[in-house]
Formats: sequence, structure tokens, C-alpha cells
Amino acid sequence: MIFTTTGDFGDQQRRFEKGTITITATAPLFKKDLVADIWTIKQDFTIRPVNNGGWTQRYGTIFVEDYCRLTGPITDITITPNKGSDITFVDRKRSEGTLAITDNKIVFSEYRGSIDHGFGLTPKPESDQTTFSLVDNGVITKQFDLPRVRAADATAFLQQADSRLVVASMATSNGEAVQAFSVDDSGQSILLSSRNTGTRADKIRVNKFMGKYIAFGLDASTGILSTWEIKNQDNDLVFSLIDQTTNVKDFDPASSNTSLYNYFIRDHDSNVYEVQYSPVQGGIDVSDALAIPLDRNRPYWLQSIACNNNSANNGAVCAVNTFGTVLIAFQRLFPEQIKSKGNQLTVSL
Amino acid sequence: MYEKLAGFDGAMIFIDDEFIAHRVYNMKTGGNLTAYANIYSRTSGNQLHTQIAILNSEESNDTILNSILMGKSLLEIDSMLAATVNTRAMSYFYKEDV
Repeated sequence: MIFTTTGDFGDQQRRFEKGTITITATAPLFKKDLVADIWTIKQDFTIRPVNNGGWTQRYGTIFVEDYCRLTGPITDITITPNKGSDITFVDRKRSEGTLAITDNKIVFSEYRGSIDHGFGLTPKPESDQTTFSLVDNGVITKQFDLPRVRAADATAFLQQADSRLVVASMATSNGEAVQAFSVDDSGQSILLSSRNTGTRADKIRVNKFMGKYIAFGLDASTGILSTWEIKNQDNDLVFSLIDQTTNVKDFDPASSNTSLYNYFIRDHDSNVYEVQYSPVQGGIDVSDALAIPLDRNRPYWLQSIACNNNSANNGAVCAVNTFGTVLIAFQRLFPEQIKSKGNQLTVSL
Repeated sequence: MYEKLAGFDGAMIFIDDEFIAHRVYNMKTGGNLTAYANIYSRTSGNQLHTQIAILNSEESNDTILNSILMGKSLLEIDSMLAATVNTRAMSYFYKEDV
């Protein structure tokens, strides 16, 4: 079991102490002294209990800051159960080796969709291309090469029989950009958007929702999350920007019967944010971002998120990857359910 | 709360009511480029259920480590590898898809 601490930032100044040194330079006929002030790091530190030792029983992960307050330049700390105490420490989990695997003819670097209807991507660095493999009932039905693909997602495209709408961030003559194309199950009919979005993306999600096709694309290098509606106009796939959100680290959508919800996280922030997209006459209504704090007592910085509809289909279940040593899972009822049940957030511990 | 393996991390996660699947890379200095699918059970004590090696390369993981030093996020590392290095996909077929 490993415990680490950063000490108390509020007491940072107390870690230093002032002193003076004398620098002497000598030559055959002269000698000169220079007295200078320097600051040195205090070598001492303090450790004192919090809560006067009135601690509650704890299982699982133990945070040392819950038990003591540390001040000073501490480089390591260990905790040892006293002799005779009924305490057992168990090491953190660690890998115990790997399982050998055998490569098949085609290996995907990304796979999206189900085993019935999905696609796989295989990078070809030697030609700066990506092989796109269409999978139907567990069998690759069609393969073709695309300019280097960084991220992609697909959904059923009902405007053409047995076809899928694929949204991908691909290399273009002017850098990378999000584009769309539709392809039928045989891979024969391909309709490519004549104009791209002009925006690159590291992650893409596309949803078929109440007759509309909504795509999300996050450029992680800028933190800009774009939301588009994709329409089939005059046999062309046209992107229409719905909204853009800045300072986004990662996102993942889920949907109820009446609304599409996007859950995203920000840099240096411990909240998950929820935005509701509701189709209305003539467009899509976008709500303000609602902050959902995961743990008010212990704010975690978050770095990736994945969401899915829960089994009851009345809310989202999300997993959040922290900058620390844990993943956090939570359930969030969709707002229309919250109004009826008064429930909000369940953090799975 | 689910404890991650020390020294392994990645952006890609899948979740349903029963499991969390987390694709992680070896982040240890001097290691090889390796990717694992860590599967956590959500119904039996939030424990790590299974770890599957999906890539065990002889290449060093310098690409990942340098990207972290340059300030890239885990998502950027994922997309960079997806475009240039075949790190093997982890996919997760949710119940309604089966």
C-alpha cells in the first residue's frame, strides 16, 4: 500500500528559512568578500493528527490526509500497524504478467458499433492511410482505404436502405477535418460530404435521434467540443453547427426518448457537466451546461469519461477516470425523471 | 470507486450496469508499448475482474511518455495511436447490441 501527500500548500512559506553566506574571491594582491542572503529549505516537518484521533472505521482506499496533517518537505511516508492491533494492510493490485495473443489477418486499432453492424479501423502508417473495414454479422463485408483517420463513429442511416452514416476526422489537403460519408451494408454505395467542417477531432460520437443525426467532435488539442446536425440535402451530407463548448477534456452522450444528453468534463475541474439537446420545431434546443459535482468532500480532477444508457433506460450511467488512482462510476437520472422522482445522482463507491 | 492499476492509464472506458472496461497503456518509464483491457465488476465489490493484454509490443513506450511530457491528454494519445500505431481495439458490446 502506497501513501503519498503533497503536504499543505498553505504553509509553503514556512518551509523556507533565510540565511547568509560569504563568498570570498582571492587574487595574488587582493581578496574580496561578498555577503549574500540565501533561502534554504527547512529540513524539519510537522505531523499531527486531525480530528483528535476520532477516526471512523475505514475499508478500501485510505487517504493519509484524513488522519494527519503534514507540513514540510516530506519525501516519503509509510504506515505500519502496531503490534497486537487487528489491522491487515493489503498491497495495491499489480499486474501478474500478460497473456500471449496471436494476430489475425486484420487487426483493428479502433472498433465501433456492434458485432452485427460495426466497423474497424486499421492504420497504415507506411502510406499515411487507414483501412476501413465494414463488419456485418461478424464478417468483414467490405474494406477500403481512407486518408489517415484519427477518430470515427457511425450510426444507422435510415435515409438510405441498409446503410450507415460514418463521421470521421480524416486527413485532407489542408490538415485534418471532420467529414461524413454514408455506406450501405455491401459497401457499394458511398456518399461523401462535399464540404468538411474545417475542424479536426480526437473523439467523435454520432447519434441518430428523433429523425435527426447529431454528431459531437472534440479537438482535444484546443479543448473545443463542436456539435453538428448532419442533413442529407440534395444528395449531399451537410454539417450544420449547433453549438461549441470550450475547455472540454472528454465527453460522451446518452439519450432518453425525448432528449439527447451530452456529459463532458473540463480541465482542472471536478464536475461532470450535462447539456440537454431537445429537438424543437425548426431546430434543436440546447440547454445551459449543468454542473454535477461528483464528491464535494474530495474534489478530483477528471481526465476521461464514458457514458451509456442505464438498463432501465431512464438515465445515464457514467464512468469517470480521475487524475488520481481511481475510477468513479455514477448514475444520473435524466432530468425528466428527476422532476418526477426528485432523485439526482448516485455515486457508486 | 474502482482502483486503477498503478502505472497504467488510458482514456478509453466502457460502462454498463455490470462491468467497466478500461483500456490502459503501460505508463512506466523504460517499459514496452503495451495495452490492456482492465475489466471491473460493478456487482461484486467493485473489484478488478479480469485483465487482458491486447497488445504486448517489443517497441518502447517512449511515444506515450514523450506525449505526456509534452502535455498531451490521454484522449490525444489515444487518437494519435489510433492514427499511426495499431494498438488493438477494445470494443464492448452492450447488452442491447448482443
